[in-house]
Amino acid sequence: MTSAPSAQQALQSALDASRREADRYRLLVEQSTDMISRHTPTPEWTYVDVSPAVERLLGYRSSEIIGTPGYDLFHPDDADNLIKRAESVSYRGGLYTNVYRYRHKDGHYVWLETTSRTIRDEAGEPLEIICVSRDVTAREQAQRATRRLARVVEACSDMVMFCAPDSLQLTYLNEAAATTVGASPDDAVALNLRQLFAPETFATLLLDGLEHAAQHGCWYGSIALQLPAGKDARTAEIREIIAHRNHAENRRVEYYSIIGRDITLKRKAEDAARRQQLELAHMSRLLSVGEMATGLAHEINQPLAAILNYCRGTLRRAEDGKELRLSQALNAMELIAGQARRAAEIIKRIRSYVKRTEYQRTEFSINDSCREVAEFLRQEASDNSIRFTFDLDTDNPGLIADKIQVEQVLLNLLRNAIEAYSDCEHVPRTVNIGSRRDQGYIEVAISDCAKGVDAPALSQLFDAFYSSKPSGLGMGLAISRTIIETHGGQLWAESDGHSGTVLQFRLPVSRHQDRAP
Amino acid sequence: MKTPPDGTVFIVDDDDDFRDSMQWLLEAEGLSVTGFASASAFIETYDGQPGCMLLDVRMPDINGLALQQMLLDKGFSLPIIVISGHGDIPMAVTAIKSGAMDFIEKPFDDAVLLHRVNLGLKQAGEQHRQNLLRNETRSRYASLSRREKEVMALVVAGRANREIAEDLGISPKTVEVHRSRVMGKMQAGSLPQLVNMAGLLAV
Repeated sequence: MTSAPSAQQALQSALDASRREADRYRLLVEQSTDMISRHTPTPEWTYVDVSPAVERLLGYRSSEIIGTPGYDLFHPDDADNLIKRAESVSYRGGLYTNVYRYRHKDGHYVWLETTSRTIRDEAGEPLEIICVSRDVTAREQAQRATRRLARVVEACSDMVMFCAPDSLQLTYLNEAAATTVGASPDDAVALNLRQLFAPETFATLLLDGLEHAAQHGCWYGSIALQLPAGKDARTAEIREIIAHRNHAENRRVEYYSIIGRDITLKRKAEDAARRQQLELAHMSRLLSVGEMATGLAHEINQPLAAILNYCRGTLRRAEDGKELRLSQALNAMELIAGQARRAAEIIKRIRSYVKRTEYQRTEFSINDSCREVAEFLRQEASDNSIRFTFDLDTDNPGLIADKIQVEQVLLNLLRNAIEAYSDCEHVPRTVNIGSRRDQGYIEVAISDCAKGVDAPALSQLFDAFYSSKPSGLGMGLAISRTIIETHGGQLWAESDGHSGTVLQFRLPVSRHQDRAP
Repeated sequence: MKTPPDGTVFIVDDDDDFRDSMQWLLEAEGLSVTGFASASAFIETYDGQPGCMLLDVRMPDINGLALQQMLLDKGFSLPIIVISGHGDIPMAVTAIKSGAMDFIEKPFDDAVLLHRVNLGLKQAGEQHRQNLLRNETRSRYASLSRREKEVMALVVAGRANREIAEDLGISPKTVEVHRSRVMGKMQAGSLPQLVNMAGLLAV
């Protein structure tokens, strides 16, 4: 006869079921790669229980760690993360997640990410804290490396931009890039690469660069950006484009890195240097005229004195008892006018020489310039009993250059030659001016027969502030060389040290080709 | 119109226009002017004609100072007025020290120039007259006999006839005859005049 299951049997069955369920959960806990631990809800955070994973994570066996204060194993810097509400702590739906360093049994620290929940009784008092912990050392180190790199890119003085491959929308600008293009980092992502370049530049150079980078990995070059104008306008160039591909089979470009450089300061420095050179050349011309002042004053004085004589002579002829024919008076006035023009010419020449000018490339005849400069120096040559002789190319070659500056060089060289005779008794005192066209160049040579320059002085001749004269500033030849070299030419001196000196320069005729056969 | 003094004004200046203007000015006062573009051009043609020179001290080739020296070497004494421009003062001073008569800076006050030129011409005229007189006196002296020259020397020295007779060993009467012949040949109207002539000869 079967009896109904007894209460005892039912209880046993329920117990077995519970046990099996508990075993199942225990298995889950024990098999989990995450470490599951239970702690007292105290500052010591004492281990009540811990899963076997503890051995893999921290090197301790469960029996070693249970009952010990978990707090002691925190890295000193991270120990109070929770209390301090550090950045590494986040809270969501009753769960705290903390990332921190924890000491392994071997003594080194590992990074753990722990999610914890406080278990409370019906009254709300904490019973225990349950934690699930995971080793995130690798992840954390990788993230730190990435953050370091990101800081480098962010702080880099070069411009770094990322842009999406097809839309060419900018996804990132570092601070340097944002400053240069005039955007704040927040609205930078609204920019498209197209907006940063002039249309033609974009359509040709930039798209070519992107294409090249897409095919070869990277592109190097120099493309100017078009940046907002204004008094703080900046000048910048793209220098490098890198194409980043994904690692899937299609190997498509995921994004481009665009690296550029803000050259505003460099450009400003170049402009300043050029302006300074012009200033210096101008100063040098003023100085030359100052040195020539006595001669120039004398030259202007001549026609003035002649004018006075003609006037007084005419007036005296008009006095009582004398006879003045109208034709005589008119003739005198003609002569006076001529003398006034002579004075005006000298003034005009001085004026145009000392004018402050920008670089101007014009076409002019080198022979004419040689003659004009010699004329400018006629008085000074005459004062020193020096005669100019000319040996100019009969083809009258033309030259495209800055006329005033080339004539400034001629003046400096001629004055140098005149000066060379100052302590020399040699007669005759001639200075020869020669010009010659040599294929694409024009050569001009100024020669004297004075004492010459010895080898040591020859090497210093073109140095700034080198002067053999006590009153000279020594800039004339240095500036002359700068002017010639800026034009793409050369200036040099030859001397045997006793019978004379030749100062010579070569200038390219121009960039244009001759039309003559 | 005042008669201008005799003599030619020689202008030596390499600036053609300026030289021409000076000529215009001087000829307005009736002066006779000749211009030269260089010192060598002047030296080639000058032969002692009376006059004065306007000389630009700044010239190529032979400069003013050298020309002065050349004239001195040739025995010409032409009053020279040096013309200087701005900055030539040291050169002008040297010229004066070398015997130039004066210097003037251009542009100049024409009245001052004319005044100085006139002075120069007067000085030249005076020198010319002195030269003529000296030559004349020399030729007169040359016409004296040996005895007459001896007598003249002692008369000019202030000796009395009696003393001269004793010195020369001739009679006082003979001395008187010689003396009167000397006065006649030398064309001296008085003893002081004779003394002056003797002074000229000694120079």
